[in-house]
Amino acid sequence: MAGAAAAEAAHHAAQVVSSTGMLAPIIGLPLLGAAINGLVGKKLPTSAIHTIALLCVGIPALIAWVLFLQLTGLEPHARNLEQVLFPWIHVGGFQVDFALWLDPLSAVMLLIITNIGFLIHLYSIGYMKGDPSYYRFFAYLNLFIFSMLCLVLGESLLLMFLGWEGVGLCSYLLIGFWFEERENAKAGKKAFVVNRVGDFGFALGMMLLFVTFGTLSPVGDGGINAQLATGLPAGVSIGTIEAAALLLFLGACGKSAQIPLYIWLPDAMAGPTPVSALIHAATMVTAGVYMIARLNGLFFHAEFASEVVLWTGAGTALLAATIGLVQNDIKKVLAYSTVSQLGFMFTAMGAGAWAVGMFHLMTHAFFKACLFLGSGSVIVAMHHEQDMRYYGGLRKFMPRTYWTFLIATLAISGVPLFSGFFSKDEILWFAQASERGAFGAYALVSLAAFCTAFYMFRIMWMTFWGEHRGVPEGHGHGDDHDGHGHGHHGDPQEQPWTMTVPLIVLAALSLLGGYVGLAHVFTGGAVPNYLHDWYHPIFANSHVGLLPMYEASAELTHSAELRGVFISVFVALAAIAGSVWLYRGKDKLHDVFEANFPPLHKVLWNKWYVDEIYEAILISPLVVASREFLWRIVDEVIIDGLVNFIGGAATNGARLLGKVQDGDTGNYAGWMVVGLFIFGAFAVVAAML
Amino acid sequence: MPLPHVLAFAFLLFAIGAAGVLLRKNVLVVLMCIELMLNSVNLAFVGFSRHFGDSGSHVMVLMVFVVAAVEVGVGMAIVVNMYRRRRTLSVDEFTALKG
Amino acid sequence: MDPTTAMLYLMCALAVLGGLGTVVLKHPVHAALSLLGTMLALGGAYALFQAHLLAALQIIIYAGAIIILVVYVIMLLDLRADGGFWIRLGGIVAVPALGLFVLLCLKLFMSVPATAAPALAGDDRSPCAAGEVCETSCVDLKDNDADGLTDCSDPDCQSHDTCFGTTKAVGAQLLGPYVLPFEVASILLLAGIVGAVLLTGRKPRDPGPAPARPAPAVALAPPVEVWKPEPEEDD
Repeated sequence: MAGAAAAEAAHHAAQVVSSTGMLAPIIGLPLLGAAINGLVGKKLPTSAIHTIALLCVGIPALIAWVLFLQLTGLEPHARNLEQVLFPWIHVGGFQVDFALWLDPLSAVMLLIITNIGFLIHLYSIGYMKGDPSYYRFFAYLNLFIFSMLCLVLGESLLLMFLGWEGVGLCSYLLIGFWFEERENAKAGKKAFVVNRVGDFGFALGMMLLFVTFGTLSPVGDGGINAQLATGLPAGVSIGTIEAAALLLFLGACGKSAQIPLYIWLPDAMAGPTPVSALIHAATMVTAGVYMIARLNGLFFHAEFASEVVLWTGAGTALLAATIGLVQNDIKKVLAYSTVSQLGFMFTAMGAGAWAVGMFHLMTHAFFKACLFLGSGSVIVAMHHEQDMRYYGGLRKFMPRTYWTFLIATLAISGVPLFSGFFSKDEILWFAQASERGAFGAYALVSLAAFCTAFYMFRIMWMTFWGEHRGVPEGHGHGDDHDGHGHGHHGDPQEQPWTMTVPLIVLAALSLLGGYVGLAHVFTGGAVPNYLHDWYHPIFANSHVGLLPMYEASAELTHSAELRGVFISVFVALAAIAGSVWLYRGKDKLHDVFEANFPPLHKVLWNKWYVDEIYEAILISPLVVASREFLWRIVDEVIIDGLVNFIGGAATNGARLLGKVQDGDTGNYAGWMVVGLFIFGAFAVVAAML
Repeated sequence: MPLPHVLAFAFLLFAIGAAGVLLRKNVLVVLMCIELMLNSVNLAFVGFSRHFGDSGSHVMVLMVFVVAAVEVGVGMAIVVNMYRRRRTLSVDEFTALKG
Repeated sequence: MDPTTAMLYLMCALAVLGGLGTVVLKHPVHAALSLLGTMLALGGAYALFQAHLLAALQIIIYAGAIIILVVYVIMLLDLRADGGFWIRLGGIVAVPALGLFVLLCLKLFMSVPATAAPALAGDDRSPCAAGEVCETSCVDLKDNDADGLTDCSDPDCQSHDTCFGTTKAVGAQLLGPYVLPFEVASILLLAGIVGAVLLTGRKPRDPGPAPARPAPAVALAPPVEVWKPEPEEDD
């Protein structure tokens, strides 16, 4: 993998940019759909609502394919399409146009967002059926697609930031979609506030970049990546680069739920399941990874920041995976799984394996969306019961859901031949073999992979295999939002085609999607690694090599890679075996884990008490300070006092002055004379001088 | 008579009239003091006129006469009305402009 | 000092005295009569200033009409002597201010170099001084050198205007350059007549009780009540 890529990396091909008019409808249509559904959707019939929403995602998806094919027809260094919509902010030296940019990197994201978005829109038709705010849901979904597309298609960081904030907003709106329940609103608020902390870092990083490079555009001839292509520009210190990279990574931590800002993602499961699938699995949470890929030039030079990224990613991967081991809510397990898998992606980015991180982003989108949608199907079938202890044996009731869920589970567990295997394997390889990798990171991530396979199969055991436990009489349901079309309290049933077709499509992608990125170790160079070649122009100038011992010898590299593959396969199978041992045939209402390791279980079940720590250290002092000091003292005493004082002074002063007018005209005449004297004396003295 | 002396007398008369306006309680007396002030102005005009030998200034004095006459006429009408209303001509009774 | 000037000073002094009387005397009739004395003194002063027409008019209009009118009203209303002075803040502050103003003006005037008044025929009873060209008959007012001034105020003029202050001179001005103020004054007189008639044309009303004092000033609005939130838990 090393030799040919390095030679090409030194070759700085000039970029060729073509102009296109087809990018505008891609973002314009979802915005239009959101506007229509948002403004008049209340009066529209449900069929109209979802048709509009589907069209406004489906047509962009088709355009995305057309543009993708157009890109493939161009020379590799000429695969850049740009469309400037309008000059946006032109203030002195700060010139930003509202421009969209399509290159290999954003093209892949575009395809993922529009196509998976379309599938999830389709799925939502069945999932949200009967909801009184049907129109609002689709309006928000379309708005989200618009924002996410701005994020990935933005030619300037400012437009990316617009989309960044927009997806944060839509996330808030959609998490708290059923805001009548207080908990849901609180979850939405938590997501937004935690994201804000990250956005603060992003904004600061953006400003630092502008001050340093004079532009906010990563791409293009004068862009940040171009300026960094041959080393640091004159006058720019490495400290600035590191600081900017770290600040931007803070933003990524918020958006992509890494330590320390991941706490909002599990709570975000309060939103409807399609939201969890789209936003918190496939698209929004990957924005941080995309951002690093986009600014690969910056992170290439920022070695310390890359190290931070590496360890944060690895640490998060393991931490989240351990918490996911013991959760009983199926969506919570998947949420922690998402956090963990994002940690994998950041590990890759930290190790300088940009294309590998993007590869895992893509495969993760496939199987995680499939898993979430499958869980949604299960949840609806079980009348919105989300506790897996009441599931069991659903295999025979919901075959299509079962098979697609199984395929996606195999993919995420890293079982060979499925897509997840290929991408995860590369991550593990680069974690240990890259110049910027570390064995510790590799160990953490491997352990996380073990836990991943374990908890995923735990879900399989508890949900689909074994005997159906079901919900006993008298047990309160989870949020059951008014009748869904299926029969009440019968056996769980398979869901309509609008829900199962997306499952099938995503499962197929989970199975086959990995073959576009086959590493050389598997094919010996016979089949090109399409994905790496596709991404090559993007990452050409940011090539991070392997450790010297690997760079020196291709033989050693090959054998080490093979060894890594065997180890990871062994880890996956061992985890699956472990799950069999612990969960097969047991009574799952009482968790076996809990029975055998009670203190460990307690810690894991309480999510390592992170939320409680934050509450004690950060939140409570802030609330108390705000209430006691800022409100009681500053606002009531100082500000209100000042305002009242001014008002009172005006009133009393006026009353005092009013005493002059006592109706006694003689007084008035007298003061007139005094005035006459003053003016007259002035004139007389002036005349005398 | 040198001009400054004439003007001195005129100003003196004016000051006395103004003091009367400010200090007297009876409305009629106040009106009379206003007449006094007008006359002082006339004196000044005549003095200037004599000093520069220009009898055109006498026209101004005539205008002052006219104004004074009209003012006294209307003023008396008002004074009569005031007396009818309050049975007194003391200035401190008429404080409707208060506030 | 020649007698004319001495008489002038006397007249002015009498005028001032009369003014003082108007201000000081308590009874309105006394004040009116004192004012009458002022008017007469001023009339004499005007005559000594060679402003013959004005002197006559002063007596006719002021002493003969205005003061009479004032005395009529006093008699009509049957006024008595009243308390006299009203001590008020405005007055106390103003009077000294007035005095200061007067002094300042006087200082100003004293510092202006006084030019001698042009000699007029009749000033010294001799028709003309030696070597001067003068005429003893009233000449028509002419503006020989077209400078906007009648020739007698032109220092280059050799002829002395013997018409100064006469009806002829004032009339020529009144119906010449100042005809507009003349007409306006007549309209003003008309307005005054109409106004006086209107103001006193109503039936005499019984003077009612003094109207109530105006209502006290509006009290300040009650303080805005503080909004207390209901206690709620936050995360």
